[in-house]
Amino acid sequence: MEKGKQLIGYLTVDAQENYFRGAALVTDSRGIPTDFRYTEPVRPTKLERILYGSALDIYLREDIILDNLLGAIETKPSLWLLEDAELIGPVQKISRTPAIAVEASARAPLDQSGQCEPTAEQGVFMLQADNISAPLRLAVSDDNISKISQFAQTLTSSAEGMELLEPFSRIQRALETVSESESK
Amino acid sequence: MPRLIAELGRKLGRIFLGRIVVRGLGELRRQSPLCVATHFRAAEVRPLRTEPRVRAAMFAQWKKTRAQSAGTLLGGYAIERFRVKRVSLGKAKKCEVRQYKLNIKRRAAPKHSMARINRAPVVRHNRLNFLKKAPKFEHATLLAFYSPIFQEKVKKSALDKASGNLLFWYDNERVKIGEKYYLLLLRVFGGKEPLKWLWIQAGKKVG
Repeated sequence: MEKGKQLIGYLTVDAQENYFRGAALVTDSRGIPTDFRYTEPVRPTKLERILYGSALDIYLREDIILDNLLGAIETKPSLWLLEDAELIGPVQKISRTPAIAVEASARAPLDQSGQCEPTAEQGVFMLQADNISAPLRLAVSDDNISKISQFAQTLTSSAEGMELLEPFSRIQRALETVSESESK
Repeated sequence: MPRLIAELGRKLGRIFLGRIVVRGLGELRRQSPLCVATHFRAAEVRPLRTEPRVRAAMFAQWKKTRAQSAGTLLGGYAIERFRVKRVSLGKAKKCEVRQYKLNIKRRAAPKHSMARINRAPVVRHNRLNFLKKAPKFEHATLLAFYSPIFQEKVKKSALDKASGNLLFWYDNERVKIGEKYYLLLLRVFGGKEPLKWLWIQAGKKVG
């Protein structure tokens, strides 16, 4: 690992009709993987469906998948990027690392790279991570709003060597191969 | 008849001798036992499944089994703290077990697989639409613009014609990273090859 290079973590929890599966990928600032973990599919039992009711989703995502997945990661990133904003709180609580929900937007590019602007929504910002893409929509927890410029700097720096959202699609492809090999 | 004679004797004794019969409580209870009836029905609870039978004392082996492995014995559930102090099933027939708090928690065993993620291609989208000033070429026009790519680290690449995305695989065993590059796809007019790939070092003027 080169000195001064930031590690970015990508975390996703895939909820299918009858099972849940989580995966975490840690990359350096060029998108090169340093750690990758995924869970076996977690199928809720009938007893769990009855006991947890509407809280089953939260129980499986947070108590089972995130808890085990984040505990297994050996290369700790400086920032977790998520697709689902609802996971920000649990991820920060378990990993003690800042987490941001990030997604592509259809807005016109901002004036310059690194520009970060607040939106009308509390804790939601638009970040122009590089000069040749649409701005990213970032959602942070209330206690991390003051650190948004620090996060923006980290993401802008990483965007020089990679497409920031691309690792999510790589995780998805990797999980597809896992599912294919399991179904054989 | 004996009962009638006894009754006659008691009555004569009372008339002529002033005697009465004194009975004890125990005798009274024996003669008329207390009977409590209820209209409630008693419910018997019986399990539908058959009685479990222990075929092998697997717990005896847990002393040397890691908690994570022991969890597999319970089908996805793990025991966080459990320890058998000493199990002796020999002549003494003693079984001494130290009791701990048993915390059973379901696990989603994470798996580590760098090979799987390394097999997944890195994707670059065509960013031509986001170029503020598209470069101009003589006898050629720009079709696609991919960035950033570390050219020296690329092991193989492919173009997904349906989406226009560039798929490539980095050689992650290669230590040297090299410089960042843009990769351009050009349509060439009048040449032998209609398409041409062009690498340009990032930061340099394109076009």
